[in-house]
Amino acid sequence: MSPAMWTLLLALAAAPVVTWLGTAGINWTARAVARLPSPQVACFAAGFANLGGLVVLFLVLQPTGSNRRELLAGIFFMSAYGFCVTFLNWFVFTVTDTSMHVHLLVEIGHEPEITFEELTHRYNKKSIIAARIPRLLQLGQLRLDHGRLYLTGSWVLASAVALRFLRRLLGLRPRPPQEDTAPASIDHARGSHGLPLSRR
Amino acid sequence: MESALFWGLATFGACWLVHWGVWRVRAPKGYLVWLPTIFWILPLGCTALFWASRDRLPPTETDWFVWILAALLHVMVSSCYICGYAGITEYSPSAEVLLAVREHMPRGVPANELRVRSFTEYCLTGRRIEDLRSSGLVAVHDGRLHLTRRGGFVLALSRVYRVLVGVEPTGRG
Repeated sequence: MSPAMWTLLLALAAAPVVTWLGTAGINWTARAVARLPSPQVACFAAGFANLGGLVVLFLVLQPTGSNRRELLAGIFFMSAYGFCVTFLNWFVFTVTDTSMHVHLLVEIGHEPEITFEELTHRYNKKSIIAARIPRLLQLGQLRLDHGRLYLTGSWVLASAVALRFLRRLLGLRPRPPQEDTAPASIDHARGSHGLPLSRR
Repeated sequence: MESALFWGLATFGACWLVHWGVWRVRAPKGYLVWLPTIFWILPLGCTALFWASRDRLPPTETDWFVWILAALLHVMVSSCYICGYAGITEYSPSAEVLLAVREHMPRGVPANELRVRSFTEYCLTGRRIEDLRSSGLVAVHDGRLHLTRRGGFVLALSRVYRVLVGVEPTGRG
């Protein structure tokens, strides 16, 4: 393979690590200048910078007089790959930041031998929703004006609508169960180990 | 590049159709086993069978380049899909908050009066504790929950990652 091919392959293979290092660099710089880092924004900033870098690298490595279709295909390829890297970088961070599974592990880790009641007292629907609103304000998806919340952004909502469409396509339930509908599996789940899993 | 883009996306599309077909028949519970099988092992097996079943000229350097690029694109796109699949099955509280606020637009809603009717306590916490138990991260003894060794490892990994990336060691959930 030519040196240009090798360079491109190495750049693509290194892209996830470069993006992760970029995210860490932005967060550490923000901390160094005593600004509160916005990690979700840092993930996207590093990811899109990497995406731009990949497209530029591809264009630089192209011989002059290249076929226009080939160029467009290459730009699309690099953009799609860079976008996926950005998404994965953001996803890994989000798992550690907002995943309820991870947060439950944190709560159980803080206090070994915790009962289910103590756990749900600390981490419940109210606390989960309360943690989300500041984050949505920070991401510009909501606006707080004189104590009232307004919808401002659209990308989180647009992705929720897209996910709902995918659920329908795959034959899954489009919305989560509502408060007044108790899941049929509660009694079964409670019976399996004696923990009161539901609070109706 | 054109062929790499085509083959990368075509492989993902073909795998997605298999996934759709399986899910329409019956959505399997262990998607972390099923999706990697459909998106990674199946195309690998098909490629191996294709090469074993016929005599071909040895691939050129350009062929190798195209295949590696196509494989990289397919692996990236399918990894995103597999990771994002948790969002398809788990429902996002953030999205539900936005949907609840949307019901009150354009007047908006007082922050202390916002009600999110979707999600039960079971759906948010109970079922997740069940998931943690079934994956061996949490154990129950005498009605008390505690981390297993594996659960402790996952938690430590999450903390190390967060410290390295320059944020506080634990997220806000």
